Amino acid sequence: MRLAVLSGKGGTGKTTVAVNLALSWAPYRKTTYVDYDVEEPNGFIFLRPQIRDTSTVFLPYPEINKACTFCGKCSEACQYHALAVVGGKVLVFPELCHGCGTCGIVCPVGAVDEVERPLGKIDEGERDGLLCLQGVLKEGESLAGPVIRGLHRREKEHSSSLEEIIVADCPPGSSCSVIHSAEGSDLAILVTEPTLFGLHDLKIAVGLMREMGLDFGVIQNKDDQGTLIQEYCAQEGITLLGSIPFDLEIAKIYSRGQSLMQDRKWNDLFKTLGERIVTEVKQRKTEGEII
Amino acid sequence: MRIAISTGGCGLDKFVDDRFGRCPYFVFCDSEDPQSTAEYKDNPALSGTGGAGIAAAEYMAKEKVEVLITGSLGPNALRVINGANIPAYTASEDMTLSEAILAWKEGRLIQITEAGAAHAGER
Repeated sequence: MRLAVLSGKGGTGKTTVAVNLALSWAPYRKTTYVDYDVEEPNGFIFLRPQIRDTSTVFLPYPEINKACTFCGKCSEACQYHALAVVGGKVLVFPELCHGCGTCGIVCPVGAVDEVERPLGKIDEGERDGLLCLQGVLKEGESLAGPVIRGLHRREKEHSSSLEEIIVADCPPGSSCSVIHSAEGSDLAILVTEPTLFGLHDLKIAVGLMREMGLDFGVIQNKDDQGTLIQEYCAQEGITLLGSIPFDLEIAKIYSRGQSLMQDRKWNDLFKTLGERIVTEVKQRKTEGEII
Repeated sequence: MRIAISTGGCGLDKFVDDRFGRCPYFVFCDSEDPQSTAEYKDNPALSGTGGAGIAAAEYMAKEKVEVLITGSLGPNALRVINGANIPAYTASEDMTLSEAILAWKEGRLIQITEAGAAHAGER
């Protein structure tokens, strides 16, 4: 089963939840942790996997050859303005190019060659039997999409039967990056916090899940015993999968870059949460089949 | 000379807009007779998500502009403007279009040779 961990708001604890859930499952079933937050992946800080493979993600961009007649069709067709035809020259702006290839298609004389530039990388490693993948977008680059797609392809090379678990640690927000990271999941886990900001962005994430037709549930992090999130979930008929207390000790362990699984109390909490999630997914699958 | 100026309004008494790629309009006119030759056109680059400076600069070349007056040019826009061999001059937003044209004619405007900040007009 594939589980997407997302939040809407940043800093609610996506990585804390994703990393510790993955570690809680790893001893019992084949588990893969995938960090899709390619603009600032941080799961490996806590997992510290042994990296065994790194591959570069390339993005194609145009190079104009001598056949060019400066007709300007490529520049007209490029909605990202990665090409400009002025003064008998074609200027190319690789950093604006999305690699869609339209310029090559519209060129009537075959003057567009495709070359590649490195956009980011994918790391693969392992820690205590937990397979760990992360995408890293190069500093200064703005196109997360191609790295996310590359990571998705890599993830699919590893089998994902219902008994095996893939945890996709998604980026914050509700943009294309989140959509590409979450799509194809059996369940989306929306991590939120009991603040008005948390609730506001949770509502956006819920809207996105409904739009995408993804099954989802909520985990409340930094639970302060208030009723803000509970009331919202009850009102909307959303399953509250569990909650993690607002606890200074958790913050201290986090600040040291350690996983919470070393501590018996939190180990138990994530194990219970993990079992609950697996049951939830299987239950929803069965219900879906009956219907 | 065919002049183009980035502007926020349509009229020679309106002010220069110091954004290039993201200004609402451009005025095009003959520097010898701005009053009767001024044409105001929407900036076609305004609505794009990115690369507005490049698109606006390419538009200047298509419009056969010989002199550009604006606030500043980002690195990409400057590369295209240079590629099109269009001299660009900087004017401030407290100048009306007529004042900017007069200032350029009297040689009081400074030519843009270095790029300003990227994305400066996204406000």
